[in-house]
Amino acid sequence: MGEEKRGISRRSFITGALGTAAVMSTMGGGLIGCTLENKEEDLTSISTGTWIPTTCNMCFNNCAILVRVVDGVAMEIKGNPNSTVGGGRLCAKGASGLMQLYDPYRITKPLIRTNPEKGIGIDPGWEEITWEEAMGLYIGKLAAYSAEDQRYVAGSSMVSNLGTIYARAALNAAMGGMPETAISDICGSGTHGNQELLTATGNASPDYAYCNYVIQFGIQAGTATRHGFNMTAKMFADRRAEGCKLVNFDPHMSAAGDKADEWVPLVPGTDAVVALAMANVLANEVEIYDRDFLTNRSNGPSLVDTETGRVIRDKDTQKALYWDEDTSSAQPYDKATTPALEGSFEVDGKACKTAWTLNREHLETYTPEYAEKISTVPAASIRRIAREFGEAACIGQTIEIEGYTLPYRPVAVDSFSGVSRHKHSWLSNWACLQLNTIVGSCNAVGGYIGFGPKCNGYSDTSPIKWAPGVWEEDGLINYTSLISPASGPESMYEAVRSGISVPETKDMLSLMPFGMDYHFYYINQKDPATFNNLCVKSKMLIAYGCNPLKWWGDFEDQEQLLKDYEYVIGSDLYLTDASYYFDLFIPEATYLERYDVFEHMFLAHRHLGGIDSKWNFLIRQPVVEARDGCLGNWEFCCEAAWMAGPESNAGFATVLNYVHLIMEHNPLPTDQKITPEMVLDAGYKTYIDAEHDLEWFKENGSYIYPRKADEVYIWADGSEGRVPVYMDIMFEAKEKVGAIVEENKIPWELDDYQPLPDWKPCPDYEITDSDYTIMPIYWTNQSNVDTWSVYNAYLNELNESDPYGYAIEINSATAAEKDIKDGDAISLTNIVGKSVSGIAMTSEAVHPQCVSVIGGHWNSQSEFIPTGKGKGTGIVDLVYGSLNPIRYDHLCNAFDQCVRVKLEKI
Amino acid sequence: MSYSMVIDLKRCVGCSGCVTNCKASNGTSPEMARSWVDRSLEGKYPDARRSIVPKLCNQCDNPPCILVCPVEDTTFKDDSGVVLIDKELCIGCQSCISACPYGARKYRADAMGYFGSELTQYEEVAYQNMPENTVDKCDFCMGRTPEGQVPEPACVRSCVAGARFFGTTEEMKGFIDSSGRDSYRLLENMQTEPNVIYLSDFVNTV
Repeated sequence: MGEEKRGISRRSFITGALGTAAVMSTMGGGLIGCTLENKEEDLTSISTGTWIPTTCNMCFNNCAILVRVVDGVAMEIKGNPNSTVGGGRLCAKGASGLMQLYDPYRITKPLIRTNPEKGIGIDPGWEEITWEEAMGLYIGKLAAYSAEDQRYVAGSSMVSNLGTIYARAALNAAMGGMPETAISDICGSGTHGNQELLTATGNASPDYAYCNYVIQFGIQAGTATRHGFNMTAKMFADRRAEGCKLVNFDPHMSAAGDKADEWVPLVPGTDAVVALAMANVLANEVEIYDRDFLTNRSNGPSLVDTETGRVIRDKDTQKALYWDEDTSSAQPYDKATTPALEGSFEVDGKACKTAWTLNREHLETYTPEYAEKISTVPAASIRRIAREFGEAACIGQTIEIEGYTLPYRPVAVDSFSGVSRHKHSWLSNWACLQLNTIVGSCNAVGGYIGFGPKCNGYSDTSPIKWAPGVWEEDGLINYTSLISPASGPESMYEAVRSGISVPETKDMLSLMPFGMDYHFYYINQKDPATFNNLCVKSKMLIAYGCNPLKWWGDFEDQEQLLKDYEYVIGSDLYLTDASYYFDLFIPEATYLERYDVFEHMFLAHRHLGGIDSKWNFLIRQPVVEARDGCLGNWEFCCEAAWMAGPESNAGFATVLNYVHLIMEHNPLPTDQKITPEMVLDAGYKTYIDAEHDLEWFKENGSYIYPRKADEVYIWADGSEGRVPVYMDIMFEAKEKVGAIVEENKIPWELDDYQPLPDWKPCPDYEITDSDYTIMPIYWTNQSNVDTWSVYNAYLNELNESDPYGYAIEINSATAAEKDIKDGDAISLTNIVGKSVSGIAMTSEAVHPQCVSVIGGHWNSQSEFIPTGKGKGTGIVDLVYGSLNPIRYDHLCNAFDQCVRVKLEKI
Repeated sequence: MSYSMVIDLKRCVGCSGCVTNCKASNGTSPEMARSWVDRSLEGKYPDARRSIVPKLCNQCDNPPCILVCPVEDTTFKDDSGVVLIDKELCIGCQSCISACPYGARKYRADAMGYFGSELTQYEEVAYQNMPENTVDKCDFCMGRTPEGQVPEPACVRSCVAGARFFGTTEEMKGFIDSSGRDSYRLLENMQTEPNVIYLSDFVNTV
């Protein structure tokens, strides 16, 4: 067939007039593709229009993208190959951004409620107001409530747009207060903290490029979810294709189970008992553990008083004592030349054992048979997988990278949401992740490494640097904040030592030095008397980019809380279910229409660890004009601060100068209206150099700087540091917290403050009613992870084409017992009588004691988003007790989402 | 010279990124998927195993769809081996849809967009190549590639797992040979001679 026919076939229906404006986009950005001058242009052709660099925001990973713009219309999105944040690839959600951008159901003008009656299905009587009116209300309410008590204001948001936190925080501060955090997200609180202690940063992953054996507990990293999915998927796929074995423990064969070489179903909330049994196999049955690592890079040699459980310390320095085999005496850890990892000793008349010896003894109770009884995972499988993992760890081997001789431990255990969203989250995550410690894979090549534990700078002249530092008393590593190194290395040990205090904010975090989430806020907001009225209820809520009604627990509980505020400001793209409780709605331009400021700042959330994951700065800039002139949140905050007057504006600029670390180098003026472009320009110049300013980024989009081996493997340069096998600090925390709660008559659980990990049952395990045998679980596939899934036309279409997309998945045998068939309507009812319903789809891919849905928070009832209305089953509504402390982890603020329900055919 | 695509089923994570990237880049209308993912489950709990096979037009060397088309030159195989449709000539009889054993062809019955009859700014441009009462299918993104350039299929470019490979048939054969992996094509017994080749999934053991 000749060229002529091909030409007809391609273009006969896709020609159109293309004016000069189409070729020469005025939205900024460099010309990545080429443009054609032909008036009869193929507007769908890949070469037509201008490719503009920016970053995605269809989830929190913020991958680098290029958007092809033709005549002011965004026609195509692709990954930016000149970036390590996405590597030129683009996931299902990323490509669906066009459906969000052009979604007619998006709100683009500020709205104010005219109907005072609030509730789902009750028309708020929204009326449009001007942006000036909206800003006036925002700052007016904020100032008025803050003037009474800054705790009267609460802020709620999600992780998807971390960069805007600073804009809102600066505006809040400028108006007189810092809102309390009423975060609606439910994160990996128990995971992040343990990762900080093991890898010096709050996000960690297998070192995929070198890893040969990955065990996942309650996580789908590298196949569907977790920070950096689009960055991880290829490197993990490459390794899997090269022979890396993936073992996935999960009640449901989710995306990770799909791709696992071995999917191991288990009862929800029992990951820890399996992990502890594996640890027992390694430590006691087959005795495969990294003696050198445990001796020199953990506190395993710490001498522990067997009577008190406390680590014995040097009286002068308080440093932990190790048994020095050279001198046959107890010495401070940094003086013992040949520490004993194991054994029983006597020091100053006290019987003591090493921490590792105590851990081995502690693990003996976790036989594989015991774990099988709890989890349903066969004991033989536990033994085999543990042995495989240990043997694959290559204990004793080293590898040369960039001139460093580094330990080579190509195995890693990874965990996240499935383990974290339970009571005893801290202990459970610790139980899983300590397997890395046992085989010495923490911070080793091929092992378990932090995303950004150390930075030597983003350029030759960059002033931005960080390193973990050490808690001197035990030689244990500290860590860098998840978001910013502004305050230097952080330390949970120091937080215990000096940070525990009587709670004044509703999150109660001052009682939780190991905590990260904020869920106790809700209990205090409902009834401060629960904790002896130490906190005050907030009267105003600012909900930014989130749906606090639906995210993590019983919807009615959340509804009551939303109704209880005197004034609620919501800011979002859509009028979600939560908007039925908003008084003022401030829309936001989409990520393709606005500037945001440093979504990738300081990298911990956006950059994987690993030698190939280079430092990368990007830009988010508008590629098309915002519909109706809608503002981005950054722009809104800047304008509002200016409106509030010179003093407020100066305060706004000062806070931005501080949090962005630009005060010293490129400070923002305090007497001018700030714009997001000004902050970006100052930041780029500060973090990198003067050459790489905003204009450079607008044109080039992505700046890359190599990451060195000693930034990835934190001990490569011989730095001091250990990871905890034994948490002596728990005793101190328990004592201090216990004293405060006793003095202030606060009901508080102290049982989890213990030096070694354990498995403990979730509250609903106590339910013995034989009708309540099923545990509903939710999971996310790649196209529904994080935000904006069912509202999006493409993603909704994907879900509708999947027979399990909006259904309740039920094990075939369980279904047969109840005569349930595909397509039957079923109901799930929890112990307090809350019920949800949906359509059953049978499957062999879910544990017989579970039913499973994607999402969990769906079944939107908002009339304002027809695309998502009534889709799916919101099983999170069954997670009762979100206002009951008994369902909370008192160590880290996690909330237990495990419930037992009665399953019935309708 | 002809083009072929290789899909590595060990790497593929079944994320449907190929589906939406194809949709957005090629501007296909509702329910018109040139690329899709088939998922199935084999075995019984707890020993079940998932099979994920992303699919698209196989650009067959012996395409049955062309044989059944009643209007001459409407669907044809061009000199790069890609099966194309001239939508000016297509009468929407859907004979080709019935003939295709892979379900690769879709019928555009109406002019609706994702949000109803009123098209968005994007859809107004994108759907100019999606007239109603015509059939649509994957063309390896030839349709949006300028003459003389090697196409870069959106599904290949975007694949988050790096599971797709595209090139000349000779290049892809060489790639498969060098991989040392088992490979297959869909419905080989039908002698359609597909140009989409799958590297088989496998289980890693230690």
